[in-house]
Amino acid sequence: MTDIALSINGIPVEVPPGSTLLDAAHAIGVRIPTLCHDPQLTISGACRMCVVEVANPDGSTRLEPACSYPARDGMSVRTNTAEVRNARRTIIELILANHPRACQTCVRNGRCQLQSLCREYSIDEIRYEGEKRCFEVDTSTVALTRHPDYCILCGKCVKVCREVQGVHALDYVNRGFNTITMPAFDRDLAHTVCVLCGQCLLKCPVAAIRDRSYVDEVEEALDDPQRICIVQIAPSIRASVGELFGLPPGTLLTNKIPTALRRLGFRHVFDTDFGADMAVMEEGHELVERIRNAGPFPLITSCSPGWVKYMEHFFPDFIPMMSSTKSPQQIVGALTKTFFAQRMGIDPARIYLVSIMPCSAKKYESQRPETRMDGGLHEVDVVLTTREFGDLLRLHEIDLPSLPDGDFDPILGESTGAGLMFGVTGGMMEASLRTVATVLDPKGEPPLEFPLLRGTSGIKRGSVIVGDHEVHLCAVHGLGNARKILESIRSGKENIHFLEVMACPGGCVGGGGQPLPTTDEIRKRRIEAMYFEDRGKPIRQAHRSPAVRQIYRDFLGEPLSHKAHELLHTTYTPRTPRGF
Amino acid sequence: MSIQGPDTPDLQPLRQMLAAWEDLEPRKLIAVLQKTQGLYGYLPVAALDFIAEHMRIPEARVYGVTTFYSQFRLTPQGDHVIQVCDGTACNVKGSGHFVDELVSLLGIRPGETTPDGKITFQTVACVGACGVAPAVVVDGEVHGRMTSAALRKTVNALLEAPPRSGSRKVALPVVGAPARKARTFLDRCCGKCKTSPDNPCPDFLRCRLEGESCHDDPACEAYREELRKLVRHTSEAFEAHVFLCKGLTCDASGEAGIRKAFENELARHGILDKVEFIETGCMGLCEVGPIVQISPHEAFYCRVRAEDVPEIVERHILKHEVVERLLYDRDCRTEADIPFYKAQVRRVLSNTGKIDPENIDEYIARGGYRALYDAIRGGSPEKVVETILASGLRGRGGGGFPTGRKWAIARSQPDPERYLVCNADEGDPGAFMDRSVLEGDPHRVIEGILLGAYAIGARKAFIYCRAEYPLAIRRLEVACEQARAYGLLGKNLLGAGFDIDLEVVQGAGAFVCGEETALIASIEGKRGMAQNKPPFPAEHGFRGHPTCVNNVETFANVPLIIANGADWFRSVGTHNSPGTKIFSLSGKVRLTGLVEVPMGTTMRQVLEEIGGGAPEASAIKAAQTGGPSGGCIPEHLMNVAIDYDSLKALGGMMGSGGLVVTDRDTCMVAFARFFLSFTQHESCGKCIPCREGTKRMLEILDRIVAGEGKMSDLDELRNLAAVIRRTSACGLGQSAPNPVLSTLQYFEHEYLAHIRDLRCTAGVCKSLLRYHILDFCRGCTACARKCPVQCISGERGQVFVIDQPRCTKCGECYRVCPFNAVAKV
Repeated sequence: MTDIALSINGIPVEVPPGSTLLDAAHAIGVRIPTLCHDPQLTISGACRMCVVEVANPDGSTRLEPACSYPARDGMSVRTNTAEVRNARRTIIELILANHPRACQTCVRNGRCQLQSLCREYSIDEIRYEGEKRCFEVDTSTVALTRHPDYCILCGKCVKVCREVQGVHALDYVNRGFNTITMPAFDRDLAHTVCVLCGQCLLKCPVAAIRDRSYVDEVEEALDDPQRICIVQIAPSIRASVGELFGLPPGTLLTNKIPTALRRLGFRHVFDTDFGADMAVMEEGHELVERIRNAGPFPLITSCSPGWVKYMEHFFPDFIPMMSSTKSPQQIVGALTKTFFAQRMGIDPARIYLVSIMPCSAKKYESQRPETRMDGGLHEVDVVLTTREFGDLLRLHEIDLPSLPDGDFDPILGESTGAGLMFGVTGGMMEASLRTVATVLDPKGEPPLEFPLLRGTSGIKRGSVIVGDHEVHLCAVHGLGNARKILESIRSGKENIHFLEVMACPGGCVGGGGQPLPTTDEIRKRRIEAMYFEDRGKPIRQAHRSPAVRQIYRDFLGEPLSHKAHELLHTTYTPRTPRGF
Repeated sequence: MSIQGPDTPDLQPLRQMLAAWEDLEPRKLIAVLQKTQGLYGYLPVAALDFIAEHMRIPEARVYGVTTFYSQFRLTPQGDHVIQVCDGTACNVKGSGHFVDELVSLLGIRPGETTPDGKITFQTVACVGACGVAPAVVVDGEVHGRMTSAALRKTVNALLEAPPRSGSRKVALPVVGAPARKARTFLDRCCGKCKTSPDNPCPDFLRCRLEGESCHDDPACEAYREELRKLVRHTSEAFEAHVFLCKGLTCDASGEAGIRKAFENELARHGILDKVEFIETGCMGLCEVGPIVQISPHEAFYCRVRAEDVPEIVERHILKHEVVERLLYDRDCRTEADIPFYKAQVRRVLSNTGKIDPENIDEYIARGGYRALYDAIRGGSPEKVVETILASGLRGRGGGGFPTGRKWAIARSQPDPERYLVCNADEGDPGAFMDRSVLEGDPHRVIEGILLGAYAIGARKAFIYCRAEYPLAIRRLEVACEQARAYGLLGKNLLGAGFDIDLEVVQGAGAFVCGEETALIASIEGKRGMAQNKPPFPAEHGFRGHPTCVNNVETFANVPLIIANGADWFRSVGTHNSPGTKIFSLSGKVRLTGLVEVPMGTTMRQVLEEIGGGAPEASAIKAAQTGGPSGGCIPEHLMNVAIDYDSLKALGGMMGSGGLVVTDRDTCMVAFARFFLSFTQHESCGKCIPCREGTKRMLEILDRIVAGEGKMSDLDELRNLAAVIRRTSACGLGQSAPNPVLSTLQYFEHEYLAHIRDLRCTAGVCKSLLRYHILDFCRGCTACARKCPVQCISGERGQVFVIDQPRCTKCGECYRVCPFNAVAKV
């Protein structure tokens, strides 16, 4: 089909069929403001910020939303007339009239799209004062808090939850001025099917959904001389944390992070990548066992806590297929408070282990009863998101990019490229295959990279020959994609041996705890940086890691040993409410 | 903070209901919620949880849908439910006082239930009884021409009644099962007739009416002729035919007891079996209801009461004399004599009020389904579209989009899965045209839908009817059932190989669902939130397939056009707006009712020739068309010809046909505020301009009517109105400012009087109003006795005094004073 030719602000522009006026404007460098639009979601048209003036054949004009209006041949569009500016200004004022306007004390201060628009449109008064919505704050979950009074009803949280994640924990409730987004029956979020993936927070243009922050708790622990503060940090953060300091997405700060963490006062700096290497060993051997025993298939990965919770609500019949291996975070936690504590001769109760994670669901995972240790200790005491990590650094006057390089601790801090790969979609599976292939075919020369598992396609399928076995693989990210695969497995249409599920689009690089904004483009840049880092690693297979070998030799025995089961494996349980 | 029902309900009935539901799919969620509410009287959370699980619908969505529609309740209702109609006509006629009165009588706000669980009091969107406004619905029964005194009496009776035991369900108006005629057109004349209930003869329509049978037998023809007479109420087997108007308005005025009175009286005379009763839809002249028409003589009796029945039977039926005192006036014996009808051109309404709407034979006997028969047996879908295009029929729902063009677009879509929807969600307060047609002549609408479905190639059609019209829904269901039995609906229609299925979908109380994209969302079982256009539903509608949405009156025109041709249709009306338009005339006019006039008729003709002008001693101030989306036409512009374009040019809107007349007692600011409060309440909440903007406009108007307005308020109103109009996502928002803009255009002086002079010239705005008893009061005590809050005192024979702080400004004293000694200041 031929391109569509139209004019925007008198500038001729050609766009492919199916383009919207927003796309066309974008193509010629006209930036139209939007609040409810998101390329990852279906078109909404709720905020009307993007209205532009379209000429009618009779010479009159009308205003249409650029985000949804299709570009058509011969259209004449003006994006910035006095009427358009007045309309947008009035819309902003109308939002503000029903908003707390507490910018100075708001966590989104400086990162709020509404605030930016106010500046762009020079809003210096609000002509319309009146009744404001008033809803209770929901602090029921360990990871996310809801602040409905801040909500501008762009609907992106509802859409990402429904369209991308297929969870549908939130929906619009009530009508007209009383409309709000909330969980079913105004229940606390903690008592719903919400999996705490945090994708809604990433989409929220304002501060209606927030991290439940643990920065104060961590500060207190760091100030407490009785406590031994230890930290671990997840793989993907090295490719994203720089964004909080103005660096372009995908800037790797791997070597700056240990320095920063030590400056914060952590006595030991562990790398969750090490836990990931351990997870490769355990889960890889689970796969080997299942291949040898011919099932049950598929083996499904369990390192994404949002996914695990989703499975427990929506697909509990898949529990027998789940890998019992704990997530890297919990493995590091368990080993810190056993192996490390024993080796250092310290009371594990004195250890305060902080995880820095790209993920809001990790907060939930660390509190799961299944992860309690004997004696009631939590394997991980507290979880901070990447964003909270940034807050903590700023509070401590640490300018991350300009720090000197440093190293992670030698124990529980050394890792391979395999562990690193956990941060991207398909990476966990790739890392496992690097080891499984060697186990099943010790003499072979297995590849280190599996291109079929790379890329941002939501469902990646393929098969590899490992030894005498053809293993059918599937890696999905975004829970909506997981649903599709699980339903087709359920109906017998799909024959998969090994299934990787990451709750968040892109995997952990797109996690709900990552810096704002997190867009498709930014996710891609972070993923590329992770691949780059992996290629530069001297060791890229978990089973070749000296640290891994040592811990099996000195402490655990061998993969899937009794002790490994005791410390590194977990169980799952069906959850209510059931999800549909 | 989560919502919990007050008790744990027994889920067994719900479980049984869902288990027995055959075609349960997520789309049926709204219907399931309605049935569940029928079981429990409200929607217990445990039941909603169960529904979510059983239907495999996310519970957040179930809750979202539940809270969107005003029909659904999460808490139980009282034993009795009093609903004050908040429609335009009722508002103009003072229903606002009822709310105040009930608040003070019951001590609860609208939407609440008295602590003893006895009475729930609500305001309700227009119930369509505009002809007898103001109306109050008590336990599902509409009471017209309500007064404060009657309301107090009703409430006190309910309060004193012993508490109801057992079920707390609210009874919907009960409609009897369709009367089974002894003989129908479907019956076989003899053994040679091929038709059977399972396999109706495709040619029986022609055979039964024209006698062109597959076999020639004089006995059969005689049989058919007798049948035709019976169906046409001309059979000599009866001595008289009594036509009872069962329109809502007549019913609300007391029609209900009249048939019983007739039956008793006729039985007394031993001639019950000699008289045929025909219960018809709305006869149109609601003002003079209850109406009874009796042939011979075709006498048109007005305001008939049960007490009048013995005289009617005695004189009219037995002695064949006309009872003159019950006629419209001395010169008007029959309907055709009455000026109200003379000035009309009743085409779409030609059957309404004349036939029993629950008897398909009566529709067929008057030529019904013949257009469908001819189109399917001898025509083609293209020809139907061409004829409709040529007729110039424009959408009667208000937008005025050419129907033929819409159908042609849908027909041209490559996607063969197409749908047709009849929009019967007549939500405009002050409009009851569609309801009257649906209740009075449902088969005409169904025939129009079938023609439309045939034309665009849809195999499935929906009628989306608002829940506030239970009788219309019931009639449609009965009509569908009958059409199905006659082979006019369903598989292999008329033996021509077309399958068309028609489903009646019940709305759940959301005005925005009259907007086509919201309506489609509602049929899909979702919240009725408007979608972006384009893509238009004709390209991308129900489940993403091409879907045509047309209004009831549009469809009712279609069989007429197909049967009589485009030229016939164009023979009345104007060039750009051919045909007729139905209006529901209400408010401050002498004769309220259902009116059909050619497009191009002037507003003045409608109000004066048909409506009889203003009631005594008043003068018409403005006519409001288009309901909350429309505007006011002031008195000096009444010569405007009524068509889509001229009304629009005056800042009004054709709308669906509500026509509410205001007079000097109507405050135009409060009137605009009334409409805006309606749209604000009905906004779906999706887009910011409509959701937030109408709220702020309403707040400004609230300030103005409270005497707290500023001059800058008018600029702000205009700015908001302009932005809302130009940027809102759907028709509801885009037209929401119209009532304000049009009153600002023609009645700015009233706004200024409120703001600058703190005066409401109509004496409506309570904050600006004081009742005062003048010196020439005779002390007759009439006002003191009427005052609902007993704030008027004095000695008999002396000048009485109003205790201002206690006065609720209900105006009762002003209305009852026989000496005009109460003044509004």
